[in-house]
Amino acid sequence: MSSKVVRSEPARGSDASSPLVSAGFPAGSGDEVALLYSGGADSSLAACTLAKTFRKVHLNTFSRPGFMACRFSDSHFLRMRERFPDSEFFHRLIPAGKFYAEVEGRGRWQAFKKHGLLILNSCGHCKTALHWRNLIFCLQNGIKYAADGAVVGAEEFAEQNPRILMPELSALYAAFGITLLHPVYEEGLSTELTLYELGISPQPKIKMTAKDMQVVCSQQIMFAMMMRLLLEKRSFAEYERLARAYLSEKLEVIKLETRLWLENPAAKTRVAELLKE
Amino acid sequence: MQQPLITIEGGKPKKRLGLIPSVIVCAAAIPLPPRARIYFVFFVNFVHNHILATARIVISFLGRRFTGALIFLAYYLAVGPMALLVRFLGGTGTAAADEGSFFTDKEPEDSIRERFGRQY
Repeated sequence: MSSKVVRSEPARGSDASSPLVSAGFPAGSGDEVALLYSGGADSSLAACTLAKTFRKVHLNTFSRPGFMACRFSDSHFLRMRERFPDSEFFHRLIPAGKFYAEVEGRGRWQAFKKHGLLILNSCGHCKTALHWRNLIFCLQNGIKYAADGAVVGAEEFAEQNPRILMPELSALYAAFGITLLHPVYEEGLSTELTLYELGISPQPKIKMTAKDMQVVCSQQIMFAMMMRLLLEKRSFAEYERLARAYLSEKLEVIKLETRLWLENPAAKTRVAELLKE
Repeated sequence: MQQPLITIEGGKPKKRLGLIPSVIVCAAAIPLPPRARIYFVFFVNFVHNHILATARIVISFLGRRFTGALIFLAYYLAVGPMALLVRFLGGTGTAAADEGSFFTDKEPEDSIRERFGRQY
C-alpha cells in the first residue's frame, strides 16, 4: 500500500458558535473521515489507506432507486475490520434517493435547452448527489474530512476527472470547512492487487467478476448511451468542457441550498425536506 | 449476467452500444421525470445486460459445444425434409443438375499461348 494520506488543515472548522452545534449536532473533530464507500476495490483500498491516518473511518454506502445489492458492501468492510482491529470502521447505509432526484430533476427543461444531451448524465448526477449527501453527513457530525475512491484512468466519470468535477467538488467541501481527499487516486489500476496483498479481497482480480462485492447500479447504461451519442461528433476534450459547465451549475445550486439549511437547520429548507427519507 | 458497461477507451466509446438504439433510448428518456427515468433505464438495462447478454452466451455455448449436432439437426430437420418436399411437389433439384455434370472440358493444350494473353 502507498504512503499515508497527507492531511492539510481544513479551510474552516465548525466551532461551538455554528448553527449546527446550536441545533444539537456535535462540534468539529479532525480525526474522523467520511468516505463514499461502494464496497469495491477502489473505495475499500481508500478505507485502508485512511485508517492509517484517521482514528475513525466512516464508510458511507448510499442507497437510491436504481441501486441494487447495497449490502454487498458489507463483504470488504467485515474483512477490513478483522484485518485492522486497531482501526475504527463505521459502516452505514444512507438513503440518498431524494438528493439524486433533486440533482437530476431540478430545472431539467431549462437545462435541456442549454446543455442538451448532458441532462442524461446519470453518473454525473448520481456522484454529485452522493457527495452532497456526504457533505451533509459531515456537517451533521462535525467531520472535517471527506474522501472518495477516485482513481486515475476513469476520466469518463466526472467526479474522477480533474478536468471536470474533481476541483469543483473539493471547492464545494472547502466552502463548508471540509477537506476532500482522494487517497488512492495515484494507485490507478493497481488497487485490486494492493487490496489482495492486504488480505482484504480473495483474489488479485475482482473487478467485473462475481467476487466484486460492491453496490450494483442498473443506471450506468443511460450514461453509456449518452456518451455514445455525445462523442459521435465531439472530442473527449469537448465533452469534458461541456460536462464541467453543466455540473458546475448543479454544484452552485447545491452550495446555495446547503447554506440555507446551515443557517437554520430547523427551518423548512429544501435540504431539510430531502433529509426526510 | 452483467456485461462490462465502461464504454470509453482512450477517449472514445467502444462500439458495444449501437448508435440507433442509443438514439431511441435517449430520445425516450429525455422527457421522463427522474423517478420514471430510473425505472425506464432499469428496464433497458435488464434487456441489454441480462436478456440479450444471456442469449448471446447461450447461443455461443451451443455453437461451440454442439457444432456437429447442430449440423446433423439442420440437415435432418431442415435441409432433408425441404428437399423431399420439393421432390414430392415435382421439383427436379438444382439447375446445375439439369446440365448433366458440374465438370467442363479442359481447354486444349495448344491454346496456352493465346490463353496467357487472355488472363481474365
